[in-house]
Amino acid sequence: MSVRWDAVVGSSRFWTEPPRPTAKPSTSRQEVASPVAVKVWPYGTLASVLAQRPLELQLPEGFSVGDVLDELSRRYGDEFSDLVIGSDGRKFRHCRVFVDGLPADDVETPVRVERSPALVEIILLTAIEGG
Amino acid sequence: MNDMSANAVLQSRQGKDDAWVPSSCAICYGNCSIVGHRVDGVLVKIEGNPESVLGKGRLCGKGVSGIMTHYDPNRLTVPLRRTNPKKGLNEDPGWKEISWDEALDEIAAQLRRIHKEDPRKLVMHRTTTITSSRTPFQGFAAAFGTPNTGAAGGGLHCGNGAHLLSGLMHASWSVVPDFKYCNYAIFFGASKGHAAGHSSGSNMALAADARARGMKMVVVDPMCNFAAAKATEWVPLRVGTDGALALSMCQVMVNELGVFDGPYLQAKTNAPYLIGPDKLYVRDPATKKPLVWDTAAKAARPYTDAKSADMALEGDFEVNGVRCRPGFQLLREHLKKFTPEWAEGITTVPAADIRRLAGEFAREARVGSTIVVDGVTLPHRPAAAIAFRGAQGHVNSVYNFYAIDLLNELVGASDVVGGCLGFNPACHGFPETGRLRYVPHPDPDGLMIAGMWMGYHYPYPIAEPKLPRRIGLQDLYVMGMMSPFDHSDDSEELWQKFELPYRPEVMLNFGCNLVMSIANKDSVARSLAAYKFIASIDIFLNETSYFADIILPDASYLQSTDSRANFPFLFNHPAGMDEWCWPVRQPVLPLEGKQRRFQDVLLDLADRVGIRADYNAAYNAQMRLEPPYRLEGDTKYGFDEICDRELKNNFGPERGLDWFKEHGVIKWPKKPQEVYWRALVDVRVPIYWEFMTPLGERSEAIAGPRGVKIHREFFDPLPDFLPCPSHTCKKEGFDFYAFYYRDVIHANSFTTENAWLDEAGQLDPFSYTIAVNADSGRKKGLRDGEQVWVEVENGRKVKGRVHLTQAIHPEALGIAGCAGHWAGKGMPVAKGKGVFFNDLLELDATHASPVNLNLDLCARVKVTPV
Repeated sequence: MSVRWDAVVGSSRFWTEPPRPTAKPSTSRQEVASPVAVKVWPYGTLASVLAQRPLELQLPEGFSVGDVLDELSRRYGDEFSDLVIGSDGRKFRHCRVFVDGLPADDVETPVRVERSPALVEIILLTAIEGG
Repeated sequence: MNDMSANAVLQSRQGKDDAWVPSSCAICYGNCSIVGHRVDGVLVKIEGNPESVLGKGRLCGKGVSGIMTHYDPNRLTVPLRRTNPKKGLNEDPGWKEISWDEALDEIAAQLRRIHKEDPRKLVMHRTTTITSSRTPFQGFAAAFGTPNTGAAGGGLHCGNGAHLLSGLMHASWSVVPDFKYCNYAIFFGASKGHAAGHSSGSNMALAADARARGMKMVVVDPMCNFAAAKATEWVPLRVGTDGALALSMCQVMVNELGVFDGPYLQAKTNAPYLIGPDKLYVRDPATKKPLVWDTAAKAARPYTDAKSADMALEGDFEVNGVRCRPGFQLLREHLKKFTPEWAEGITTVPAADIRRLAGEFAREARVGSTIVVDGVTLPHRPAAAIAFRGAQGHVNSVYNFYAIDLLNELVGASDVVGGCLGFNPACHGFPETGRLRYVPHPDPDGLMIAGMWMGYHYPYPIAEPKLPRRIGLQDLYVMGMMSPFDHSDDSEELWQKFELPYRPEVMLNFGCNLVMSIANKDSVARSLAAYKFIASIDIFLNETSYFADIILPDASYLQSTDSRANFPFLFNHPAGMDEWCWPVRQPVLPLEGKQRRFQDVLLDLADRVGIRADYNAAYNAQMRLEPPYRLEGDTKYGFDEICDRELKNNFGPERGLDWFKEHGVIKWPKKPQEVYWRALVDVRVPIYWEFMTPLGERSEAIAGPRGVKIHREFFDPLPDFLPCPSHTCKKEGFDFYAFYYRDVIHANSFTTENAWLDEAGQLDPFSYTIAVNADSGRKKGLRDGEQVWVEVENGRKVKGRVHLTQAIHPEALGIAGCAGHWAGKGMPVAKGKGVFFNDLLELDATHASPVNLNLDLCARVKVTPV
């Protein structure tokens, strides 16, 4: 019996990911009324780049991890963004971000301000391994 | 859930110490599960842990001999400081005992200095023997802010090609046949299943059972040793030509026999992607997605918009004015030059045998068949081609492994029942907590990104080359992991050309004997002597200790704790259907003298340097600790507490370190959808490496203007046979291709000090000798057992006793492992035992892969009686 690979893929939901929350700003950027505070803790290499720890940012309500990285890139330029964001615009895998202690692998992850200010931690893990 | 019973392995009689303590071996990086029998405080026996999936109670000769390494009277027990400021291979350091505070203060002062100046001046090396040491060491490097980490010869010898390719094509660190279901396995220079390497204990049993079941095992290797001796067929070939053989087998399958798995290639690879004359994908102008030719629509469409079954694998098309063809067609045409007759000239394997092997592999793959495993219908391809150190340890490392894996990809035998499996690329997670879940996923081009990796630099997507800022230049040579340029004689020249803004000054070394484990010892010695300060954490003084300023006495694995002795699952956990298993390491014996565990030493150093908060953050990130188990701020945690938090984080609050110390392991069933995930996950792998062309261009744009040549022939999207430097040697009298192989009774460079293993080595006809083909040796007038010099072109040579044998290719010369220690003070048992092969290897850009930096591990040599 011959089986088509695409048919096998289509018939299984075993690996279906649970729906992922996405950042949905309650107000648009153009009508920012109530900027909220976020505390950024950079570690390792990023601690020396950002110079200040913690660093407090004010961002529009409903912001995401990507917005935090964008703001840091705006403030600290290529010295920061070259370490964190690739030429394709995506966050490097070895740049790990935590929002209030929970890993945020995706830059779309919303930073929910359930306590003020929210805490965003960033560290670059060493990139190479052998074995 | 199938937790092991405490009473099964841990017993204690009234008032008397008599305990079987479950833990993990660390004599080699297989790190199999063990139980240590302790009576009245003395370890009397080590056995495999029958409750663990990692070995299932079986343990190799190295593992049972760990007792002798632990009780070696030459073990370090106190911190030492050198008194002789002069460093060299023959300079006695003049060791003087100092206190831990003195030692750590001195190291911390050096670290604080460079942390302020430029943290990248710190270089950290760690042995691969203790797999789990990657977490504390990489974490420390991340906290400190240095990208300069390495594993001496580890990775540089064995992994830059094997792990890169296994990651790209199988989302795993290594590959094995699916022993339970495979009927035809072809091993290219791979020791998997024969008492060495990843999951060694488990794979030994799986391979043996497979052979007993009737699996045909073909071993392609210059030497008939541990794998070939058990094989159905040994295929001897010229050293370093595995890729040529594999390419020719692909040619036979595709163009002579016309056997390939079309549906697999359409749905699971980039074979249908249209390629333009610039060697790049032809992309949809609107979405930028690669286009395929949709035979139903008779038009080019983004790959996401066409049914796989309708994607053309062959043909000549015009899309938006561009002539283009599917990747598979380009591959098919490319393969035509690799005829068996051509390959015979390269490999010495007869053309008829190449055709036969290709035919057998293609037939045994049973393209199109399915099988039901635990109620799930899955593709069934009971044939696998695997490779490891032998095939990939050459300048042509990448193409060699690429060509070998193409055999699997062409017949769809990739992560399916019976085929070539990555080690656990997908895990649905621990059922009670949902933790440890990972699975490969696609990038925007549909190509596979691994779900988990050993490091944090994933094999795909390929990173953008940059002006290098690492001493190993891996940020330019982005497909390399470990680098020869950490220690090569041409490193300073390269650093100057690339305007590296700092130089390495301080090294923290954990258990690496760099002088012996990389290549030419004089090159490595010069690089080590240039460091301002080196601190080594070790269990013995060795040849590299001669260059250290401070020596710190480490605990042995039998005195250590580790919550992740075998994690990630893609490194050591056996592949195939069985159970998931998470073992820990725990002390069987207490520390002696002033020994300390390296994990606690690093935590102490972090406090003294003032980076504890950063180190805690690194542990949080590496272990993915979540509240309430995260390490907070700069709170001082001991390593046992960190282990406890990781275990509770993964397995629930009731299963902390104490639970694991009692039970040893936790297990839960694997599901067929996890093991044979490929059919069920919508990712593709590249049979046409489109990313190589821009990678070559971008690398050249950086290197070329600075006078560093990028050899573009290594950056073609399709694999080729590119010879090793040894293949081009024409010097008279240099008749043999020397190579080294993993000895079944030794691991890395330190087990020749183990009294039992040394005794076994002396009894074994090969362990400490130089294997030469009997006919070839006699033609040169060599006598079995006589002392000979083995010399490379530039005059460097090593000495040893020749062993004439039929079990080696006529042009090959084989030396076991990494032996031949000369520093007798710290390792007197090892001194003078075996042959120091690595000293025959060159350590420079010419002898490294321009793609992945793998060293070429063969050398053309002349053999002369002493």
